[in-house]
Amino acid sequence: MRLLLVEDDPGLGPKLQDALNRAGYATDLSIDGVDAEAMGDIEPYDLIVLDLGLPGQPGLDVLRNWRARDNLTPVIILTARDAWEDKVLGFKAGADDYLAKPFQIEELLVRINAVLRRYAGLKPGSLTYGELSLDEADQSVSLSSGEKFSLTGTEFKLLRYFMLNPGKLLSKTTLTEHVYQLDSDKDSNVIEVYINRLRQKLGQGLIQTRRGQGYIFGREGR
Amino acid sequence: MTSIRSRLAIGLTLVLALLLLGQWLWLTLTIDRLIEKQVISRLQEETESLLANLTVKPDGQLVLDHERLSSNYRRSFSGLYFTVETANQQIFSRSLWDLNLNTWPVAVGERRVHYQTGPQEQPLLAVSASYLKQDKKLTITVAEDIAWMLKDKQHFQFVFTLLSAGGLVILLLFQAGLVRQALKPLSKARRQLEQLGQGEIKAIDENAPDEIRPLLIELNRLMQSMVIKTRRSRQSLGNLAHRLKTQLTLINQIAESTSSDNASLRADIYQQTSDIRQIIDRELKRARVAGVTLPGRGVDLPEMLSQLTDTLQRIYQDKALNIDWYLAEDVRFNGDREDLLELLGNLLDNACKWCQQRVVLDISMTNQGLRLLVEDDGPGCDDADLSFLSQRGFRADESRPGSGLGLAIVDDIVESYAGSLSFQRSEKWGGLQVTVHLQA
Repeated sequence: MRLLLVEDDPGLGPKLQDALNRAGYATDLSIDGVDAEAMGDIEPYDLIVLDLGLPGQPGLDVLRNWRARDNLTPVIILTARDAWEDKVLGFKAGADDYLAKPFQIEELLVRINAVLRRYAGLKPGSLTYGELSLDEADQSVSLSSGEKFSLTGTEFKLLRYFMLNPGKLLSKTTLTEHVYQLDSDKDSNVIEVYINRLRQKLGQGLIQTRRGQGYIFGREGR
Repeated sequence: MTSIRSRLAIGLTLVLALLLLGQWLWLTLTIDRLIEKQVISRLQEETESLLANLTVKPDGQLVLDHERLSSNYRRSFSGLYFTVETANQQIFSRSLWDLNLNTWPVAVGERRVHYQTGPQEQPLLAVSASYLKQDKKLTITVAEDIAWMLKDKQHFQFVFTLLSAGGLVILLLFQAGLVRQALKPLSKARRQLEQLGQGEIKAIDENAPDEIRPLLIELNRLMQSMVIKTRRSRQSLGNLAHRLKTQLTLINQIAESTSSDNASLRADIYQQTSDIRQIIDRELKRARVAGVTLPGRGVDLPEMLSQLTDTLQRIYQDKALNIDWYLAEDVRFNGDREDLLELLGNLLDNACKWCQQRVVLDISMTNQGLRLLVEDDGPGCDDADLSFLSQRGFRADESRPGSGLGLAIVDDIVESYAGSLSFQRSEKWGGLQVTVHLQA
C-alpha cells in the first residue's frame, strides 16, 4: 500500500512516516501544500493522510483541487481544529475520514485500515481471504488450520495489496508502485522474488501468473 | 414621550394653534372696536346736529325744529332715537313712540357711551353728550339700533373661524409631512438596523443627513471591527490549537518509539496528552463561542442541516444511520452560524453515537425563541444521570469513545444565547431526548 503523508511539522512528519512504514505502508512525506497536491496527482497512492494546517496552500484547498480533477484517492484529514465547522467543511471538500490531533498511531492505523477496506468494498474488521487471515499488528498471516507464518516487510505489503485487490490483474509495475515508496530503489524483478516466497509459504495456487501481463490473487472458481 | 416625531408634532401643533387663536382674538376685537368707534362718532355728530336745531326761547323753553331732522326720527321704532333733557324739560324723538331711553347724567363737554335694550328689544348703542346752550345745560342722547352690526360681527366671526380652522388643518397636515420628511433618514436607519439584525444586509447605508451620518459610520465601523476581531481571534485560536495539538501528537509518537518494556510510562504519557487535549478543546471551544454579540447573518438552516447530516452519515458510515430532520417554515436563527453548527454537531453526534439507527431532529419556533429537539432510539439514560449530563466532562458511560466535552460545550453555547438545556427520555423513540431553547 502506497501512502502519502502530508504533514508540515518537522518533528512529527518523519516520526509518523517511520511509524507508517513500520506498519507496512510505503509512505512518502510531503511538507507543503503545493508539493503535496502535485504528488497526489502524479503518484498512484492508495491513500493520503492530509494535515489541514499547511504552508503554501491550506489542506482543504489541496483536497478540493484533487477532487475537482477527479483524483478520488481516499483521504484522511488530520485536524487540530476540532470544530464541527471544520469537520463539515472537510467532508464537503471530499475527505473520507478525519482524525483529530493529538492521536496515537494505533488510532490512525485503524482509520487507514477502515478506509482502505471500505474503498476495496470489503467489510470492516480483519483482512481475510478464504482460509487466509492477515494479522496486521504483528505482520503475519495465519491459515484456518492454525498454521501461522510471519512475513517480512515487503512480503506483508505485497500480500496485503493482493488481499485488498483479489481477482484483479495486477502488473509488476502496479505492484512495485504500491509496495515501494518514492525514494526506494525500485526493481520490478524483485517483485518476482517476493511472490515466489509468498507462494512457498501459502501454496502455489494462490497467486497466478499471467505471462507478460502480471499476477492475479485468488483461487480459480471463487 | 420617546418618539422624536410625536415630540415635534405636539410642539409644532401647540405653537400653531396658539398663534392662530391669538390672531383670531386680536382681529375680531379690533374689527369690533373699529365698527363701534365709527358708530359712536356718527352718533356724536347726530347729537351735534340736534344741538344745532335746538333753540332756547326767552322763557327758557327748548324748541326743536323737527322738520329739519332726519325722517328716521319720525318713523316709529325706526332704530334711530334721541332724547334731549334739561333740568325741567324732556324732548323725545317721535320714533320712540311713548317709550324713553335710559339716560345717565353727563358732565358738560363730556360724552358717555352705553349699550341698552330699546323698544321692541332692539339692541341699542347710545351716546349721551352734555352741552351748554345760552347758559342752559342740556343732555342729548342719541341711540341707534345695532342689530345689523351684531349680525355682521357674527357673520364675520363665523367666516373667520372657519377660515382659521381650515388654515390650521392645512398647516398641521403640511407640518406632519414636513416632520415625516425630515425624519425619513432616521426611519430608514431603523429599518436597516432591523434588516441587519436579520442578516439581510451586511452594513448600514451611510448616505444620510449630517446629523446622523457620524452615528451610522461609527456603528458600521464598530460592527466591522467586531466581525474582524471575532474572525481573527477564532483564527488565532485555531492556529494555537493546531500548533499545540501537533506537538502533543509528536509527544505521543515519541512515547511510541520508546522501548516497549516501558509500557506504563507510555500509558502515562498518553494519559497526559489526552488530558491536555481535553483542556485545550474545552477552553478553545468556549472561547470560540461568539454568542449574540454579532449581527446575525441569516443562517441558511436547510443547507447547514443537510451538510451536517451528510457529515454524520460519513462519520458513522459503518452504522446504518437514519437521521431525520424537520424544520418549521417560520424558523429564523439570527445568531452565529458556527455556534449553531457546533451545538447541533455535538448533540447529533452524541445521538448518533448511542442510537440503534434512528436520530430525529426537530427545529421550531416557540414564543421563547428557537427550540431544538434531538431524539434517538438508543438505550437512553438513567433518571439519576439525566441531571448530571451537562456537567463539565461528565460521561454517563465511559465505554464509548468521546471526551465528554460535547455536552459541556453545548451548555456553554446555550448559556451565551440565554437559552435552556434539558434532558428527558424520548417517549417516541425510547432513547435520550435533548431539548434546547435559544433566544435568537
